[in-house]
Amino acid sequence: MSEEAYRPGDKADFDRLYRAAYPHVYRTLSAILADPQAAEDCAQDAFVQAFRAWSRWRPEAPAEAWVHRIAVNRAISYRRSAKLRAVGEVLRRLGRPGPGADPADEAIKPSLVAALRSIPPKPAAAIVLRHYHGYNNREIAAALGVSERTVGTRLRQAGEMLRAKLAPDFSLDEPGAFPSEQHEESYAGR
Amino acid sequence: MEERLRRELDAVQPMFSSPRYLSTNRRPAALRFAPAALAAAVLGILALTAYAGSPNPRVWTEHVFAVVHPAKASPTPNEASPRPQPSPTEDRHETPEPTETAEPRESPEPHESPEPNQSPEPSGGGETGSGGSGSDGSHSGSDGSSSGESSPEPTPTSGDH
Repeated sequence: MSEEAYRPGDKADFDRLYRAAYPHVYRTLSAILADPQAAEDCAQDAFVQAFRAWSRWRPEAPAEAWVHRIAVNRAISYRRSAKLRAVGEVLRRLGRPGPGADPADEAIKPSLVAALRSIPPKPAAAIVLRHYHGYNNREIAAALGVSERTVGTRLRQAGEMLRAKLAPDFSLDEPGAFPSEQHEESYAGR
Repeated sequence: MEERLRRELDAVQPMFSSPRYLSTNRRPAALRFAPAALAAAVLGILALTAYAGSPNPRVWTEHVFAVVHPAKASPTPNEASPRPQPSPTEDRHETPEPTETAEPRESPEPHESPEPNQSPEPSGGGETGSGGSGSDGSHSGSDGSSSGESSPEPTPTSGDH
């Protein structure tokens, strides 16, 4: 389904966009936010905001990338406020450490996604858009509202952070690590 | 690694609930501007209160009316007028001078008017007629104006020619 099929302001087209893009947006936010409920809230709120602004959407920007932009911004705001809530929680406990994560959960939790959740949201979103959704630099720039040069910087930063967390030999520059690095084809959406 | 990422994220299934945007009421444009209109109304009330010096809407109305119709609203003299005190003859040709001195067209002030036909001087009982004529000196240029219908200048300083 091409992006050109979407008509700004048309409710039926927005419904189609929702059905096509919601799972992708939700998975992107799941890689940024640890809490599935928070990911769903942010995804739903993003579509509410997109629905209100649907008549102002311009077909020059891919619709799914446009919704991703709204959703990532919401996730960033959520993580920022989560830090403040965490600080408040620590203060309430008077500095005593909170309950730690269940080791059983750690064992079954995907470590790559867990690593993505632990790095800043913008580089994490760039990694997911590039290596999961298959966006090229231009589409990632549209989705994150930054320049293409910044996209390259964010991808490099994300690779360094993931390498530090996962394995010393993990690298985005490895030829076998991310085969999509070999070609810059755009195949946004599945 | 890319396959690992795809595998891990594909395992994440969204919770399929009804889209929240369907239950969003798109407020009409009038309601969207309601808060701004309310704020403008409150500011307007505060401005009028500050201007009029009173929160009473009647006072606002009076102030606005005084600004819009200054002549009708107040018969008080225009103190800003730079015109000198004119003689009564000049007054007849022009609009009534809204000065404190008596205007020729208007009824004379009883306590200052030496009208012979008007009320007599309260001090002198027999001066009803002569009192008026004896007070020519106080007539300020009212030679021809002693017909009785117009009052001479009550103040000795005004209109001396």
